[in-house]
Amino acid sequence: MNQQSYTKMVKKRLMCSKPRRDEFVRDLESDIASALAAGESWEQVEQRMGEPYLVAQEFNDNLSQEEIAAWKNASD
Amino acid sequence: MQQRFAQQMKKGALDMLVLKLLEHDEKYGYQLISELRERTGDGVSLKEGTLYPLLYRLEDGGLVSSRMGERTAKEPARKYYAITECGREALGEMYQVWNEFDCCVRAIMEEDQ
Repeated sequence: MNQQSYTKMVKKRLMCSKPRRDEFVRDLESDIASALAAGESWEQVEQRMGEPYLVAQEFNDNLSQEEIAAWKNASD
Repeated sequence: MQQRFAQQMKKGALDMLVLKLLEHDEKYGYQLISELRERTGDGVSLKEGTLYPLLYRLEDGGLVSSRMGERTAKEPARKYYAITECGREALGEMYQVWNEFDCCVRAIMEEDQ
């Protein structure tokens, strides 16, 4: 999987507001760029970060209660 | 069970550890993850899915602030996080709570020693 597909798959599974979703994807892309600039290969980065659905799941699990409530209200 | 216990224990200290890493210098996400891993000998291995919600929460609470760095020929554009004065106060309070809790735990766990 290439980097673009990876971040797209993470983004699809994020359960938060659009601004927060966009912010996390930008931060993820920035970390990937930093890792590549530090000499890691994309394959190493992908392996270290884990499957996209797990990245999204961990993010969703760690969101504050306020953010989760705001997302649920907006979704209803 | 040990792994779950270890995860819960580590999770409780992450806010404090991230604030401590920001005590003297502003840092970006990848830098925080790398430094935490290196300085703990892989004992605390943080991933982006845990770090960024933590940073967002600290920023919303006024304990850290962020700024966008500029993209250069050698480096991508990065978001740098810095501790605020409130963050420094909170760090001191957290460490005090940590030390008090450590004493309580030792009082129970070492009672037979």
